[in-house]
Parts: sequence; C-alpha cells; structure tokens
Amino acid sequence: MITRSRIKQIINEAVGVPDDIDMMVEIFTSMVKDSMQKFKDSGQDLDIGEAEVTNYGDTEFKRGEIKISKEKSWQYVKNSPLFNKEKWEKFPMYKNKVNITFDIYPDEPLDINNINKPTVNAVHEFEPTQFGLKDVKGLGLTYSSGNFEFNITMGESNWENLDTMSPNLDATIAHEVFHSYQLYIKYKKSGKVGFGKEHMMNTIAGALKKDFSKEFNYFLHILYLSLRFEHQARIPQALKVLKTKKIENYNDFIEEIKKTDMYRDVKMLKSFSANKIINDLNKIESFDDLLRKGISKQHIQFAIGGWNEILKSIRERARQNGLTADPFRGLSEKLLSNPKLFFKHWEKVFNRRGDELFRKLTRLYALL
Amino acid sequence: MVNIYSYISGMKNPLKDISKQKLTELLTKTDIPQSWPLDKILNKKNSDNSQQNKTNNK
Repeated sequence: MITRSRIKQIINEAVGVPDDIDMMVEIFTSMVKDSMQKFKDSGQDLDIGEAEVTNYGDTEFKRGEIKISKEKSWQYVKNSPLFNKEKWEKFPMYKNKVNITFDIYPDEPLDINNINKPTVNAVHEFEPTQFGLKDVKGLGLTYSSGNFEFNITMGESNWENLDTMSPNLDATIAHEVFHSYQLYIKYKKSGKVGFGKEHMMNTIAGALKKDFSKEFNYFLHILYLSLRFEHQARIPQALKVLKTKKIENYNDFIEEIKKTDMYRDVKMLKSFSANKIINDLNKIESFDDLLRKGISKQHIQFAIGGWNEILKSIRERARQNGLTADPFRGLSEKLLSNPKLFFKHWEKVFNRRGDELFRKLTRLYALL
Repeated sequence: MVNIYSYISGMKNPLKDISKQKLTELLTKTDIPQSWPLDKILNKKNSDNSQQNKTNNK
C-alpha cells in the first residue's frame, strides 16, 4: 500500500521539487541566519560604503563578511537539530565552504525602487577535480559538491530582525542547493560532471558580457534565463516563496506567482524581441551612445560570427577542467552570418522557454 | 566605460581578453545574477576604499 508521505514524494518529484533537498536547504538557511546573528551579537565592525541610488540620491551602506570553512559548515550540519542521517544519505552533501557578504541600506532607498528586502545574489561553485562521491569512515558515501556564496542586499529592518530574511533567503538557498543536487543526480546516474550542453551556454552567457555592450548583455542574460537547468532550480525557489502566501484558490495562486522573481523571468523571456535589440543598437541618443554603440556592434558581429567557434573553445576548456563536455551541433552558417536572423532564432527559443517556465511554475499549485 | 580601446585589438576573438582563470571560474559556477538590474539602481562608489571606514554594528 502506498503511504501518504510516498504519495507526497511522488507528486513533489513530478512537479520538480524533490524531497531530498529539503533538509539541507533548511540547515543551510539556519546556518546563514545564525552566522549573521552571531556576527551582530559580537559587535564586530562593519565597513562603510557609499552608493548613488536611483530615485533617491547618495546614501551610506554598511557591509559585513562572514567566511565559514568546510569543516565548520560540516560541524554545523551534523550538529543541527534538523539533521537526520537517513535523509542525509539520500543527498549526502559534505563539507561545503560558505561565504556570506551583506550590505545593509536604509530601507527607504530600497523601498522607493521596489527592491526586494532582502535581495540575495548567490553562487554555487564546484571544483571538478574534487567533485564526486567519496567513502568516509563512519559516514559512508559522501558527496563533495563545492562552495556557496551569498551576497545579500538588505534593509536596516532586515538587520534588526534577521527572521525577515525569510522567505527570500530560503528561496535562494533552495535554488543553489538544487543546482548541487542536479550535479549529484547526473553524476550518480551517468558518471558525468557538469550540466551537459547547457553548461556551455551558461558559460558563453557570462564570457561574452562587456561593460560597453548593454544591449548584447541583455540578450546574454535572457540566454541564461532560457536554460532548462536554471528553470528547474527556479521551481523549488518559487515554492519556498509561495508556501508563505495565503492561497485559497487558483486565482490567488496565479496572483502570487505574478509577484515572484520567477514570473519576472518568464516575462523577460516572452518579451524578448529581435527587432527591439537591433533598433536599440542603432539608436544614438547621447554622446555615450555614440562612443559605445559602434564598438558594441563590432563586438556583437564577432561574437555572432564566431558563435560556434567560441562554444568549441569553451568546450575544450571545460574538458581540460575535468567537466564532461559532449559534442554539440552548432548554429547554421545562415544564422551566424546575419545578426537579425540570429536574434530571430533566439527570440523563438526564448519565447517558447518562457511558456515552458510558466507552465512549470503553475504545476506548483498541486503542492500548496 | 572601460577597456574599449584595449579591447579592439582582441576583438576578432571575443574570448581573447578573458583569462584562463576567469573562464574556469565561469565554467564552475552557477549563479542567480540578480544584479540585473540591482547594480544599475545601487551604484556603489569607492568600493575599493570602503574598508577604510568602519562602524560598530551595535
């Protein structure tokens, strides 16, 4: 007979939120909060910086930094009251270094600009040569999954009450822990290291960004948003936020989805337009445009013309770094010889992926 | 606006001005780049010097 918890597990997996990550997400969330509380209680100094804020003007912000070593983070995990060895064995994350930086602003400049308090920028980083499963005496099989970085932009009100960092902090941690889980499952099933073909796309999106090419940077950002392994990580991320909302029916649910960062991503994917990016590149409205856009267009010309070659170089570098980099089919010469056709191709892909991400988000209703 | 002119010489290879270390970093990181559009709104000044000024957090 199938138990109620097994049914829940099956639904979770079908929707894209595996139970296996829950415990580690909760433990890492409390690790970040507890470390910040400890920093606060110790009266440690904060650095002071200055920022010019849109719609507000100049303001000071305070910055703190916390580094948690691999050993310390593992001690925290295994001694946590939330730790359960049986659950951990399903996803045995082991010894992750955690770096936290936090910038504390007065609330007003953040509120005026509708910036989420807190906004958490996060990174999951892994070292391919150390990546994998290892037998550790007394523990069994452990998974060396890499490091986490959390860069938190918060208001004074968050600093006064660190509990207010939830659910945004929990959601971001769910996203990054899920990336670690994706790598774990792939490695366990196939022995492959990395996210496969999309890994190269994720890298090209970062590698081709240039300070002077904001139009192309925008395209590269949408390219990153279109990656399916990123979509998958946004599902547990969205669930963490939606679970804190009062949702009584499907309409409430859709209204709450529309308030999430993930819905903003859907809109960006669906509204990407090849014509707009080309028009924007040709529009000269200021001296800065005059100086910047010529060089930006040249950069784009070489980036598009060399698209397949650049991906090949990245793939080669990936292999040298110990990642699994399977061959892939590049884009046709026809697309690469005409920027308009190139952007039109991606417009179709992005718009379709926007629909896909939205459909995935709506399935979360089954879990609320 | 930086590196425009030094960049021109390497333009035919858009990866040329990216160090091996940077590329390796990009290959081994997954992130949520919420700095879009946060960096545009919160334009930090003198971040290199920020450590010279400190305040007690209490």
